[in-house]
Amino acid sequence: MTTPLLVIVAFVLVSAVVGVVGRGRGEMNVERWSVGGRRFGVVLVWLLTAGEIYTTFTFLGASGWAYSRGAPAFYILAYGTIGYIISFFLLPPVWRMAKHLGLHTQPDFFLARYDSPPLTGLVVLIAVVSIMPYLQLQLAGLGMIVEIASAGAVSSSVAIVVAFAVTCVFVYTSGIKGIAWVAIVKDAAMIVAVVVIGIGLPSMYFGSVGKMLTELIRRHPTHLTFPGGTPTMGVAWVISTILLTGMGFYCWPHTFASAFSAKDDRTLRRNAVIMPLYQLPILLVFFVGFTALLVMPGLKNPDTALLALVGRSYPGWFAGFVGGAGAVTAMVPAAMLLLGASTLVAKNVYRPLRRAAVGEQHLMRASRGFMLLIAVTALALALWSPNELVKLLIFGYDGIAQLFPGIVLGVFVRRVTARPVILGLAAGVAVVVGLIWSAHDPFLGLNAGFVGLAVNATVTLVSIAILNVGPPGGAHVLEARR
Amino acid sequence: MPSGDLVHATGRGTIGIVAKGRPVAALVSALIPAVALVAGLPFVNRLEPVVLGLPFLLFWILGWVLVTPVFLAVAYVLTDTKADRTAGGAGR
Repeated sequence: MTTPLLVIVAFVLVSAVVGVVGRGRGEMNVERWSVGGRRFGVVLVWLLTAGEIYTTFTFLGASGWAYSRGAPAFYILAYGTIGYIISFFLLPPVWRMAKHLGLHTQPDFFLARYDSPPLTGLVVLIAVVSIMPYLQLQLAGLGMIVEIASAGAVSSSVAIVVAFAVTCVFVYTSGIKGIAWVAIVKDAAMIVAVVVIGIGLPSMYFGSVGKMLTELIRRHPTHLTFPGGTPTMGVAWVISTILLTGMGFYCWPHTFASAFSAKDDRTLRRNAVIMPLYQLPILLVFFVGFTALLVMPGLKNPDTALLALVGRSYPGWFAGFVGGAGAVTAMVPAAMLLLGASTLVAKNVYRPLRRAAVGEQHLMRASRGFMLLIAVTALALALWSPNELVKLLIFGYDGIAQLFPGIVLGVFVRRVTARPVILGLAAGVAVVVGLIWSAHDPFLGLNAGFVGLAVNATVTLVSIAILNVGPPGGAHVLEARR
Repeated sequence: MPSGDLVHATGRGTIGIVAKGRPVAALVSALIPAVALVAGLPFVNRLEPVVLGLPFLLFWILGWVLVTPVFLAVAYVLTDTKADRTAGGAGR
Protein backbone atom coordinates (compact mmCIF):
# COMPACT_ATOMS: atom_id res chain seq x y z
CA MET A 1 0.00 0.00 0.00
CA THR A 2 1.26 3.49 -0.85
CA THR A 3 1.49 6.19 1.82
CA PRO A 4 -1.33 8.30 0.31
CA LEU A 5 -3.61 5.27 0.20
CA LEU A 6 -2.92 4.41 3.86
CA VAL A 7 -3.74 7.97 4.92
CA ILE A 8 -6.96 7.89 2.87
CA VAL A 9 -8.11 4.59 4.41
CA ALA A 10 -7.43 5.95 7.92
CA PHE A 11 -9.35 9.12 7.07
CA VAL A 12 -12.41 7.21 5.82
CA LEU A 13 -12.41 4.90 8.88
CA VAL A 14 -12.30 7.85 11.31
CA SER A 15 -15.21 9.47 9.44
CA ALA A 16 -17.26 6.28 9.58
CA VAL A 17 -16.75 6.13 13.37
CA VAL A 18 -17.81 9.79 13.70
CA GLY A 19 -20.96 8.95 11.72
CA VAL A 20 -21.93 6.02 13.92
CA VAL A 21 -21.18 7.86 17.18
CA GLY A 22 -22.87 11.05 15.91
CA ARG A 23 -26.20 9.41 15.20
CA GLY A 24 -26.95 9.31 18.91
CA ARG A 25 -28.71 6.65 20.94
CA GLY A 26 -32.21 5.30 20.76
CA GLU A 27 -34.18 3.40 18.19
CA MET A 28 -34.02 4.63 14.61
CA ASN A 29 -37.23 5.57 12.84
CA VAL A 30 -37.93 7.40 9.61
CA GLU A 31 -38.49 10.76 11.31
CA ARG A 32 -35.07 10.61 12.98
CA TRP A 33 -33.31 8.93 10.06
CA SER A 34 -34.49 11.44 7.51
CA VAL A 35 -35.18 14.77 9.23
CA GLY A 36 -33.30 14.37 12.52
CA GLY A 37 -36.47 14.91 14.56
CA ARG A 38 -36.79 18.46 13.08
CA ARG A 39 -34.63 20.00 15.78
CA PHE A 40 -31.52 21.35 14.05
CA GLY A 41 -30.33 24.87 14.71
CA VAL A 42 -28.33 27.17 12.51
CA VAL A 43 -25.08 25.23 12.89
CA LEU A 44 -26.31 21.77 11.94
CA VAL A 45 -28.51 23.05 9.11
CA TRP A 46 -25.53 25.02 7.83
CA LEU A 47 -23.36 21.92 7.97
CA LEU A 48 -25.98 19.83 6.21
CA THR A 49 -26.46 22.40 3.48
CA ALA A 50 -22.71 22.71 3.12
CA GLY A 51 -22.48 18.94 3.23
CA GLU A 52 -24.47 18.88 0.04
CA ILE A 53 -22.67 21.75 -1.61
CA TYR A 54 -19.05 20.73 -1.31
CA THR A 55 -18.99 17.54 -3.26
CA THR A 56 -16.54 15.75 -5.50
CA PHE A 57 -17.98 18.07 -8.09
CA THR A 58 -16.48 21.10 -6.33
CA PHE A 59 -13.18 19.42 -5.63
CA LEU A 60 -12.40 17.53 -8.84
CA GLY A 61 -15.08 18.70 -11.28
CA ALA A 62 -14.50 22.45 -10.79
CA SER A 63 -10.71 22.11 -11.07
CA GLY A 64 -11.17 19.83 -14.08
CA TRP A 65 -13.30 22.41 -15.86
CA ALA A 66 -10.99 25.29 -14.87
CA TYR A 67 -8.25 23.20 -16.48
CA SER A 68 -10.04 22.19 -19.67
CA ARG A 69 -12.75 24.85 -20.22
CA GLY A 70 -11.54 27.94 -18.37
CA ALA A 71 -14.09 30.74 -17.90
CA PRO A 72 -17.29 28.67 -18.39
CA ALA A 73 -16.36 27.01 -15.08
CA PHE A 74 -17.04 30.38 -13.38
CA TYR A 75 -20.74 29.52 -13.45
CA ILE A 76 -19.95 27.22 -10.50
CA LEU A 77 -18.97 30.23 -8.39
CA ALA A 78 -22.19 32.09 -9.26
CA TYR A 79 -25.08 29.63 -9.21
CA GLY A 80 -25.04 28.80 -5.50
CA THR A 81 -25.43 32.48 -4.70
CA ILE A 82 -28.54 32.68 -6.92
CA GLY A 83 -29.81 29.53 -5.18
CA TYR A 84 -29.38 31.07 -1.69
CA ILE A 85 -31.14 34.28 -2.71
CA ILE A 86 -34.12 32.24 -3.93
CA SER A 87 -34.05 30.08 -0.78
CA PHE A 88 -34.31 33.16 1.42
CA PHE A 89 -37.90 33.63 0.21
CA LEU A 90 -38.85 30.10 -0.77
CA LEU A 91 -37.74 27.92 2.13
CA PRO A 92 -39.43 29.64 5.11
CA PRO A 93 -42.99 29.12 3.75
CA VAL A 94 -42.05 25.58 2.71
CA TRP A 95 -40.75 24.93 6.22
CA ARG A 96 -43.91 26.29 7.86
CA MET A 97 -46.05 24.08 5.65
CA ALA A 98 -43.86 21.03 6.32
CA LYS A 99 -43.98 21.66 10.05
CA HIS A 100 -47.73 22.15 10.11
CA LEU A 101 -48.52 19.04 8.09
CA GLY A 102 -45.67 16.81 9.33
CA LEU A 103 -44.01 16.43 5.92
CA HIS A 104 -40.80 14.41 5.55
CA THR A 105 -40.01 14.46 1.87
CA GLN A 106 -40.33 16.67 -1.18
CA PRO A 107 -43.09 14.50 -2.74
CA ASP A 108 -44.97 14.85 0.58
CA PHE A 109 -45.01 18.56 -0.19
CA PHE A 110 -46.40 18.02 -3.68
CA LEU A 111 -49.02 15.60 -2.41
CA ALA A 112 -50.10 17.91 0.41
CA ARG A 113 -50.23 20.94 -1.83
CA TYR A 114 -51.72 19.51 -5.03
CA ASP A 115 -53.54 16.43 -3.69
CA SER A 116 -52.62 14.52 -6.85
CA PRO A 117 -50.99 11.04 -6.72
CA PRO A 118 -50.09 11.16 -10.46
CA LEU A 119 -48.19 14.43 -9.98
CA THR A 120 -46.46 13.03 -6.90
CA GLY A 121 -45.44 9.91 -8.83
CA LEU A 122 -44.04 12.06 -11.64
CA VAL A 123 -42.07 14.15 -9.14
CA VAL A 124 -40.54 11.01 -7.58
CA LEU A 125 -39.63 9.67 -11.01
CA ILE A 126 -37.95 12.93 -12.10
CA ALA A 127 -36.15 13.24 -8.76
CA VAL A 128 -34.76 9.71 -8.72
CA VAL A 129 -33.67 9.83 -12.38
CA SER A 130 -31.99 13.23 -11.82
CA ILE A 131 -30.21 11.97 -8.72
CA MET A 132 -28.58 9.11 -10.63
CA PRO A 133 -25.95 11.18 -12.48
CA TYR A 134 -25.29 13.18 -9.28
CA LEU A 135 -24.68 9.96 -7.38
CA GLN A 136 -22.65 8.52 -10.22
CA LEU A 137 -20.46 11.65 -10.08
CA GLN A 138 -19.58 11.01 -6.43
CA LEU A 139 -18.73 7.36 -7.03
CA ALA A 140 -16.64 8.19 -10.12
CA GLY A 141 -14.76 10.87 -8.15
CA LEU A 142 -14.06 8.46 -5.28
CA GLY A 143 -12.85 5.92 -7.80
CA MET A 144 -10.40 8.43 -9.31
CA ILE A 145 -9.03 9.34 -5.90
CA VAL A 146 -8.36 5.73 -4.90
CA GLU A 147 -6.96 4.83 -8.31
CA ILE A 148 -4.48 7.72 -8.35
CA ALA A 149 -3.53 7.37 -4.67
CA SER A 150 -2.66 3.72 -5.18
CA ALA A 151 -0.49 4.72 -8.18
CA GLY A 152 -2.66 2.54 -10.39
CA ALA A 153 -2.37 -0.60 -8.21
CA VAL A 154 -6.14 -0.49 -7.58
CA SER A 155 -8.01 -0.23 -10.86
CA SER A 156 -10.73 2.40 -11.10
CA SER A 157 -13.52 -0.21 -11.35
CA VAL A 158 -12.39 -1.93 -8.15
CA ALA A 159 -12.00 1.48 -6.52
CA ILE A 160 -15.55 2.47 -7.49
CA VAL A 161 -16.97 -0.77 -6.07
CA VAL A 162 -15.09 -0.25 -2.78
CA ALA A 163 -16.31 3.37 -2.65
CA PHE A 164 -19.88 2.19 -3.16
CA ALA A 165 -19.63 -0.40 -0.36
CA VAL A 166 -18.17 2.07 2.15
CA THR A 167 -20.86 4.66 1.34
CA CYS A 168 -23.68 2.13 1.79
CA VAL A 169 -22.39 0.99 5.20
CA PHE A 170 -22.08 4.63 6.18
CA VAL A 171 -25.72 5.57 5.39
CA TYR A 172 -27.05 2.29 6.72
CA THR A 173 -25.62 2.94 10.17
CA SER A 174 -25.69 6.74 10.52
CA GLY A 175 -28.87 8.44 9.37
CA ILE A 176 -29.03 12.18 8.85
CA LYS A 177 -27.56 13.26 12.18
CA GLY A 178 -24.52 11.01 11.86
CA ILE A 179 -23.96 12.39 8.39
CA ALA A 180 -24.21 15.97 9.67
CA TRP A 181 -21.39 15.26 12.12
CA VAL A 182 -19.20 13.72 9.45
CA ALA A 183 -19.90 16.82 7.37
CA ILE A 184 -17.95 18.75 10.05
CA VAL A 185 -14.89 16.51 9.56
CA LYS A 186 -15.30 16.74 5.83
CA ASP A 187 -15.65 20.52 5.62
CA ALA A 188 -12.76 21.20 7.98
CA ALA A 189 -10.47 18.86 6.02
CA MET A 190 -11.70 20.15 2.70
CA ILE A 191 -11.15 23.81 3.59
CA VAL A 192 -7.67 23.17 4.99
CA ALA A 193 -6.75 21.18 1.87
CA VAL A 194 -8.17 23.75 -0.55
CA VAL A 195 -6.57 26.76 1.16
CA VAL A 196 -3.16 25.06 1.31
CA ILE A 197 -3.14 23.88 -2.30
CA GLY A 198 -5.12 26.80 -3.77
CA ILE A 199 -2.56 29.31 -2.56
CA GLY A 200 0.42 26.95 -2.24
CA LEU A 201 0.47 25.48 -5.73
CA PRO A 202 0.39 28.78 -7.69
CA SER A 203 3.05 30.16 -5.31
CA MET A 204 5.21 27.04 -5.62
CA TYR A 205 5.41 27.24 -9.41
CA PHE A 206 4.93 30.95 -10.19
CA GLY A 207 5.63 32.88 -6.97
CA SER A 208 2.04 34.03 -6.33
CA VAL A 209 -1.56 33.65 -7.49
CA GLY A 210 -1.36 36.96 -9.37
CA LYS A 211 1.79 35.89 -11.24
CA MET A 212 0.18 32.56 -12.13
CA LEU A 213 -2.85 34.39 -13.59
CA THR A 214 -0.59 36.77 -15.54
CA GLU A 215 1.30 33.80 -16.98
CA LEU A 216 -2.00 32.05 -17.83
CA ILE A 217 -3.29 35.13 -19.68
CA ARG A 218 0.03 35.40 -21.55
CA ARG A 219 0.03 31.76 -22.65
CA HIS A 220 -3.74 31.24 -23.10
CA PRO A 221 -5.19 34.70 -23.77
CA THR A 222 -8.76 33.43 -24.35
CA HIS A 223 -8.95 30.97 -21.44
CA LEU A 224 -10.35 33.40 -18.84
CA THR A 225 -13.21 34.95 -20.84
CA PHE A 226 -16.26 33.18 -22.26
CA PRO A 227 -16.33 30.83 -24.14
CA GLY A 228 -12.86 29.89 -22.80
CA GLY A 229 -11.48 26.64 -24.15
CA THR A 230 -14.83 25.62 -25.67
CA PRO A 231 -16.54 26.43 -28.99
CA THR A 232 -20.10 26.66 -27.62
CA MET A 233 -20.11 27.95 -24.02
CA GLY A 234 -20.48 31.67 -24.61
CA VAL A 235 -22.20 34.30 -22.47
CA ALA A 236 -25.68 32.97 -23.32
CA TRP A 237 -24.74 29.46 -22.22
CA VAL A 238 -23.24 30.72 -18.95
CA ILE A 239 -26.26 32.92 -18.12
CA SER A 240 -28.77 30.18 -18.95
CA THR A 241 -26.74 27.64 -16.95
CA ILE A 242 -26.48 29.94 -13.91
CA LEU A 243 -30.24 30.54 -13.99
CA LEU A 244 -31.07 26.86 -14.50
CA THR A 245 -28.78 25.59 -11.74
CA GLY A 246 -29.61 28.49 -9.40
CA MET A 247 -33.32 27.73 -9.67
CA GLY A 248 -32.65 24.01 -9.41
CA PHE A 249 -30.44 24.41 -6.33
CA TYR A 250 -33.20 23.82 -3.78
CA CYS A 251 -35.28 21.56 -6.04
CA TRP A 252 -33.22 18.49 -5.16
CA PRO A 253 -35.18 16.30 -2.75
CA HIS A 254 -32.27 16.35 -0.28
CA THR A 255 -31.67 20.13 -0.37
CA PHE A 256 -35.42 20.78 -0.25
CA ALA A 257 -35.79 18.39 2.69
CA SER A 258 -32.76 19.82 4.52
CA ALA A 259 -35.04 22.80 5.12
CA PHE A 260 -37.37 20.46 7.05
CA SER A 261 -34.67 19.69 9.60
CA ALA A 262 -34.42 23.35 10.72
CA LYS A 263 -35.92 24.16 14.11
CA ASP A 264 -37.54 27.37 12.87
CA ASP A 265 -37.93 29.42 9.73
CA ARG A 266 -35.56 32.16 10.88
CA THR A 267 -32.77 29.58 10.91
CA LEU A 268 -33.31 29.13 7.18
CA ARG A 269 -33.17 32.85 6.42
CA ARG A 270 -30.04 33.37 8.51
CA ASN A 271 -28.48 30.41 6.78
CA ALA A 272 -29.21 31.97 3.38
CA VAL A 273 -27.48 35.19 4.48
CA ILE A 274 -24.17 33.55 5.36
CA MET A 275 -24.00 30.74 2.80
CA PRO A 276 -22.67 32.76 -0.20
CA LEU A 277 -19.37 33.22 1.67
CA TYR A 278 -19.04 29.46 1.66
CA GLN A 279 -18.53 29.58 -2.11
CA LEU A 280 -15.12 31.19 -1.67
CA PRO A 281 -13.06 27.96 -1.68
CA ILE A 282 -14.32 27.29 -5.21
CA LEU A 283 -12.14 30.21 -6.34
CA LEU A 284 -9.09 28.49 -4.86
CA VAL A 285 -10.07 25.26 -6.60
CA PHE A 286 -10.07 27.19 -9.90
CA PHE A 287 -6.53 28.40 -9.14
CA VAL A 288 -5.39 24.77 -8.77
CA GLY A 289 -6.95 23.90 -12.14
CA PHE A 290 -5.25 26.89 -13.81
CA THR A 291 -1.87 26.02 -12.29
CA ALA A 292 -2.26 22.43 -13.46
CA LEU A 293 -2.95 23.65 -17.01
CA LEU A 294 0.33 25.58 -17.02
CA VAL A 295 2.44 22.95 -15.25
CA MET A 296 1.06 19.71 -16.70
CA PRO A 297 -0.80 20.41 -19.94
CA GLY A 298 -2.34 17.61 -22.00
CA LEU A 299 -3.80 15.40 -19.24
CA LYS A 300 -6.04 12.70 -20.72
CA ASN A 301 -8.71 13.14 -18.03
CA PRO A 302 -8.99 16.80 -16.90
CA ASP A 303 -10.93 15.72 -13.79
CA THR A 304 -7.69 14.25 -12.43
CA ALA A 305 -5.82 17.59 -12.79
CA LEU A 306 -6.04 18.50 -9.08
CA LEU A 307 -4.99 15.06 -7.83
CA ALA A 308 -2.19 14.75 -10.39
CA LEU A 309 -0.72 18.16 -9.52
CA VAL A 310 -0.97 17.55 -5.77
CA GLY A 311 0.67 14.12 -6.13
CA ARG A 312 3.53 15.64 -8.07
CA SER A 313 4.06 18.65 -5.78
CA TYR A 314 3.63 17.43 -2.20
CA PRO A 315 4.97 14.60 0.02
CA GLY A 316 2.94 11.37 0.15
CA TRP A 317 1.26 12.02 3.51
CA PHE A 318 -0.15 15.36 2.38
CA ALA A 319 -1.31 13.95 -0.95
CA GLY A 320 -3.05 11.31 1.19
CA PHE A 321 -4.67 14.00 3.31
CA VAL A 322 -6.01 15.75 0.20
CA GLY A 323 -7.20 12.40 -1.17
CA GLY A 324 -8.86 11.58 2.16
CA ALA A 325 -10.60 14.95 2.25
CA GLY A 326 -11.72 14.30 -1.31
CA ALA A 327 -12.97 10.82 -0.45
CA VAL A 328 -15.10 12.03 2.47
CA THR A 329 -16.26 14.92 0.26
CA ALA A 330 -17.68 12.30 -2.08
CA MET A 331 -19.09 10.03 0.64
CA VAL A 332 -21.13 12.61 2.57
CA PRO A 333 -23.10 13.91 -0.42
CA ALA A 334 -23.47 10.38 -1.80
CA ALA A 335 -24.92 9.34 1.56
CA MET A 336 -27.29 12.32 1.61
CA LEU A 337 -28.45 11.60 -1.92
CA LEU A 338 -29.04 7.94 -1.14
CA LEU A 339 -30.88 8.78 2.05
CA GLY A 340 -33.08 11.31 0.27
CA ALA A 341 -33.89 9.16 -2.73
CA SER A 342 -34.59 5.99 -0.75
CA THR A 343 -36.84 7.75 1.77
CA LEU A 344 -38.96 9.24 -0.96
CA VAL A 345 -39.31 6.01 -2.95
CA ALA A 346 -40.28 4.11 0.23
CA LYS A 347 -42.64 6.73 1.57
CA ASN A 348 -44.18 8.19 -1.57
CA VAL A 349 -44.32 5.25 -3.95
CA TYR A 350 -44.00 2.03 -1.97
CA ARG A 351 -46.31 2.87 0.94
CA PRO A 352 -49.21 4.23 -1.18
CA LEU A 353 -48.95 1.23 -3.53
CA ARG A 354 -49.17 -1.32 -0.70
CA ARG A 355 -52.82 -1.52 0.21
CA ALA A 356 -52.12 -2.92 3.67
CA ALA A 357 -50.92 -0.57 6.39
CA VAL A 358 -47.15 -0.10 6.43
CA GLY A 359 -45.79 0.52 9.92
CA GLU A 360 -42.81 2.65 10.89
CA GLN A 361 -40.36 -0.26 11.18
CA HIS A 362 -41.59 -1.74 7.91
CA LEU A 363 -41.06 1.64 6.21
CA MET A 364 -37.56 1.88 7.69
CA ARG A 365 -36.68 -1.55 6.25
CA ALA A 366 -38.14 -0.59 2.89
CA SER A 367 -36.12 2.66 2.87
CA ARG A 368 -32.92 0.72 3.44
CA GLY A 369 -33.85 -1.77 0.72
CA PHE A 370 -34.49 0.96 -1.86
CA MET A 371 -31.24 2.61 -0.83
CA LEU A 372 -29.32 -0.47 -1.94
CA LEU A 373 -31.26 -0.65 -5.19
CA ILE A 374 -30.53 3.00 -6.06
CA ALA A 375 -26.88 2.66 -5.06
CA VAL A 376 -26.44 -0.41 -7.27
CA THR A 377 -27.95 1.45 -10.25
CA ALA A 378 -25.57 4.39 -9.75
CA LEU A 379 -22.70 1.91 -9.42
CA ALA A 380 -23.62 0.33 -12.75
CA LEU A 381 -23.75 3.78 -14.40
CA ALA A 382 -20.36 4.73 -12.95
CA LEU A 383 -18.79 1.50 -14.23
CA TRP A 384 -20.34 1.38 -17.70
CA SER A 385 -21.29 4.93 -18.66
CA PRO A 386 -18.49 7.28 -17.57
CA ASN A 387 -18.73 11.02 -18.27
CA GLU A 388 -17.12 14.32 -17.26
CA LEU A 389 -17.95 15.20 -13.63
CA VAL A 390 -19.36 18.67 -14.36
CA LYS A 391 -21.38 17.34 -17.29
CA LEU A 392 -22.97 14.75 -14.98
CA LEU A 393 -24.12 17.41 -12.54
CA ILE A 394 -25.54 19.57 -15.34
CA PHE A 395 -27.52 16.53 -16.58
CA GLY A 396 -28.96 16.18 -13.09
CA TYR A 397 -29.89 19.87 -13.00
CA ASP A 398 -31.50 19.64 -16.46
CA GLY A 399 -34.00 17.25 -14.87
CA ILE A 400 -34.43 18.44 -11.29
CA ALA A 401 -34.87 22.16 -12.11
CA GLN A 402 -38.08 21.22 -13.94
CA LEU A 403 -39.71 20.97 -10.48
CA PHE A 404 -39.13 24.69 -9.88
CA PRO A 405 -42.39 26.08 -11.38
CA GLY A 406 -44.48 23.55 -9.44
CA ILE A 407 -42.74 24.44 -6.17
CA VAL A 408 -42.88 28.23 -6.56
CA LEU A 409 -46.49 28.30 -7.80
CA GLY A 410 -47.43 25.79 -5.11
CA VAL A 411 -46.05 28.03 -2.39
CA PHE A 412 -47.09 31.46 -3.63
CA VAL A 413 -50.13 31.08 -5.91
CA ARG A 414 -53.17 29.56 -4.32
CA ARG A 415 -55.38 28.86 -7.32
CA VAL A 416 -52.93 26.61 -9.20
CA THR A 417 -54.06 22.99 -9.46
CA ALA A 418 -52.14 19.82 -10.33
CA ARG A 419 -53.01 19.55 -14.02
CA PRO A 420 -51.07 22.58 -15.36
CA VAL A 421 -48.03 21.54 -13.32
CA ILE A 422 -48.16 18.00 -14.74
CA LEU A 423 -48.43 19.32 -18.32
CA GLY A 424 -45.55 21.74 -17.76
CA LEU A 425 -43.33 19.02 -16.26
CA ALA A 426 -44.07 16.63 -19.12
CA ALA A 427 -43.35 19.29 -21.75
CA GLY A 428 -40.13 20.43 -20.03
CA VAL A 429 -38.77 16.92 -19.58
CA ALA A 430 -39.66 15.98 -23.17
CA VAL A 431 -37.79 19.02 -24.52
CA VAL A 432 -34.71 18.31 -22.37
CA VAL A 433 -34.53 14.62 -23.28
CA GLY A 434 -35.15 15.42 -26.96
CA LEU A 435 -32.44 18.09 -27.13
CA ILE A 436 -29.82 16.02 -25.31
CA TRP A 437 -30.47 12.81 -27.24
CA SER A 438 -30.44 14.60 -30.59
CA ALA A 439 -27.13 16.26 -29.56
CA HIS A 440 -28.62 19.78 -29.55
CA ASP A 441 -27.15 20.81 -26.21
CA PRO A 442 -26.40 23.76 -26.17
CA PHE A 443 -29.45 24.81 -28.22
CA LEU A 444 -29.08 28.24 -29.92
CA GLY A 445 -26.29 28.92 -27.44
CA LEU A 446 -28.53 28.17 -24.44
CA ASN A 447 -28.27 25.31 -21.94
CA ALA A 448 -30.77 22.61 -23.03
CA GLY A 449 -32.11 22.29 -19.47
CA PHE A 450 -32.88 26.01 -19.45
CA VAL A 451 -34.77 25.71 -22.75
CA GLY A 452 -36.78 22.86 -21.18
CA LEU A 453 -37.46 24.96 -18.09
CA ALA A 454 -38.67 27.89 -20.23
CA VAL A 455 -41.04 25.57 -22.15
CA ASN A 456 -42.15 24.03 -18.87
CA ALA A 457 -42.96 27.42 -17.30
CA THR A 458 -44.76 28.62 -20.44
CA VAL A 459 -46.89 25.47 -20.73
CA THR A 460 -47.70 25.63 -17.01
CA LEU A 461 -48.78 29.28 -17.14
CA VAL A 462 -50.82 28.87 -20.34
CA SER A 463 -52.53 25.78 -18.91
CA ILE A 464 -53.36 27.67 -15.74
CA ALA A 465 -55.14 30.27 -17.87
CA ILE A 466 -57.05 27.61 -19.83
CA LEU A 467 -57.48 24.56 -17.59
CA ASN A 468 -57.47 25.84 -14.04
CA VAL A 469 -61.11 25.38 -13.19
CA GLY A 470 -62.74 24.42 -9.94
CA PRO A 471 -61.40 24.79 -6.42
CA PRO A 472 -57.79 23.72 -5.91
CA GLY A 473 -57.34 20.53 -3.86
CA GLY A 474 -54.93 19.91 -1.01
CA ALA A 475 -53.55 22.25 1.61
CA HIS A 476 -52.59 25.77 0.67
CA VAL A 477 -50.09 28.22 1.80
CA LEU A 478 -51.43 31.72 1.91
CA GLU A 479 -49.02 34.60 2.10
CA ALA A 480 -50.83 37.67 3.36
CA ARG A 481 -49.53 40.88 4.88
CA ARG A 482 -50.39 41.42 8.44
CA MET B 1 -46.65 22.49 16.93
CA PRO B 2 -47.01 25.46 14.62
CA SER B 3 -45.01 28.43 15.78
CA GLY B 4 -47.30 30.77 17.69
CA ASP B 5 -49.57 32.98 15.66
CA LEU B 6 -47.45 32.73 12.54
CA VAL B 7 -49.23 29.68 11.32
CA HIS B 8 -52.89 29.16 11.91
CA ALA B 9 -55.58 27.13 10.28
CA THR B 10 -57.92 29.35 8.32
CA GLY B 11 -60.44 26.80 7.18
CA ARG B 12 -60.49 23.34 5.72
CA GLY B 13 -57.04 22.28 4.63
CA THR B 14 -55.73 25.81 4.41
CA ILE B 15 -52.77 27.18 6.28
CA GLY B 16 -52.56 30.92 6.58
CA ILE B 17 -49.08 32.28 6.82
CA VAL B 18 -48.61 35.91 7.59
CA ALA B 19 -45.71 37.58 5.85
CA LYS B 20 -44.08 40.02 8.21
CA GLY B 21 -42.29 43.30 7.91
CA ARG B 22 -41.67 44.71 4.46
CA PRO B 23 -41.45 41.81 2.02
CA VAL B 24 -41.33 43.97 -1.13
CA ALA B 25 -38.37 46.02 0.09
CA ALA B 26 -36.65 42.79 1.18
CA LEU B 27 -37.23 41.26 -2.26
CA VAL B 28 -35.73 44.30 -3.99
CA SER B 29 -32.66 44.23 -1.74
CA ALA B 30 -32.09 40.51 -2.31
CA LEU B 31 -32.57 40.72 -6.06
CA ILE B 32 -29.99 43.49 -6.60
CA PRO B 33 -26.90 41.22 -6.45
CA ALA B 34 -28.60 38.43 -8.44
CA VAL B 35 -29.66 40.71 -11.29
CA ALA B 36 -26.39 42.65 -11.32
CA LEU B 37 -24.24 39.52 -11.37
CA VAL B 38 -26.13 37.80 -14.20
CA ALA B 39 -27.25 40.76 -16.33
CA GLY B 40 -23.77 42.27 -16.18
CA LEU B 41 -22.04 39.25 -17.71
CA PRO B 42 -22.38 40.29 -21.41
CA PHE B 43 -20.67 43.60 -20.56
CA VAL B 44 -17.84 42.29 -18.38
CA ASN B 45 -16.64 39.42 -20.54
CA ARG B 46 -13.08 40.77 -20.70
CA LEU B 47 -9.72 40.56 -18.95
CA GLU B 48 -9.07 44.28 -18.39
CA PRO B 49 -8.94 46.02 -16.00
CA VAL B 50 -7.20 43.52 -13.72
CA VAL B 51 -8.46 44.11 -10.17
CA LEU B 52 -6.58 42.68 -7.17
CA GLY B 53 -4.71 40.42 -9.58
CA LEU B 54 -7.96 38.96 -10.97
CA PRO B 55 -9.10 39.35 -14.59
CA PHE B 56 -12.19 41.58 -14.68
CA LEU B 57 -14.72 38.84 -15.50
CA LEU B 58 -13.66 36.75 -12.51
CA PHE B 59 -13.50 39.82 -10.28
CA TRP B 60 -17.07 40.78 -11.27
CA ILE B 61 -18.52 37.38 -10.36
CA LEU B 62 -16.50 37.03 -7.17
CA GLY B 63 -17.32 40.61 -6.09
CA TRP B 64 -21.08 40.08 -6.30
CA VAL B 65 -20.84 36.74 -4.50
CA LEU B 66 -18.96 38.42 -1.66
CA VAL B 67 -21.41 41.33 -1.22
CA THR B 68 -24.56 39.16 -1.50
CA PRO B 69 -24.59 38.49 2.29
CA VAL B 70 -24.80 42.27 2.88
CA PHE B 71 -27.90 42.57 0.66
CA LEU B 72 -29.45 39.46 2.23
CA ALA B 73 -28.71 40.79 5.73
CA VAL B 74 -30.66 43.94 4.83
CA ALA B 75 -33.51 41.74 3.56
CA TYR B 76 -33.34 39.77 6.82
CA VAL B 77 -33.67 42.91 8.93
CA LEU B 78 -36.59 44.05 6.76
CA THR B 79 -38.50 40.79 7.22
CA ASP B 80 -37.62 40.09 10.83
CA THR B 81 -40.05 41.87 13.12
CA LYS B 82 -40.35 41.99 16.88
CA ALA B 83 -43.29 39.56 16.84
CA ASP B 84 -41.16 37.15 14.86
CA ARG B 85 -38.31 37.33 17.33
CA THR B 86 -40.56 36.25 20.16
CA ALA B 87 -42.38 33.62 18.10
CA GLY B 88 -39.22 32.20 16.52
CA GLY B 89 -38.18 30.36 19.67
CA ALA B 90 -41.55 28.65 19.88
CA GLY B 91 -40.87 26.80 16.68
CA ARG B 92 -39.38 23.71 18.23
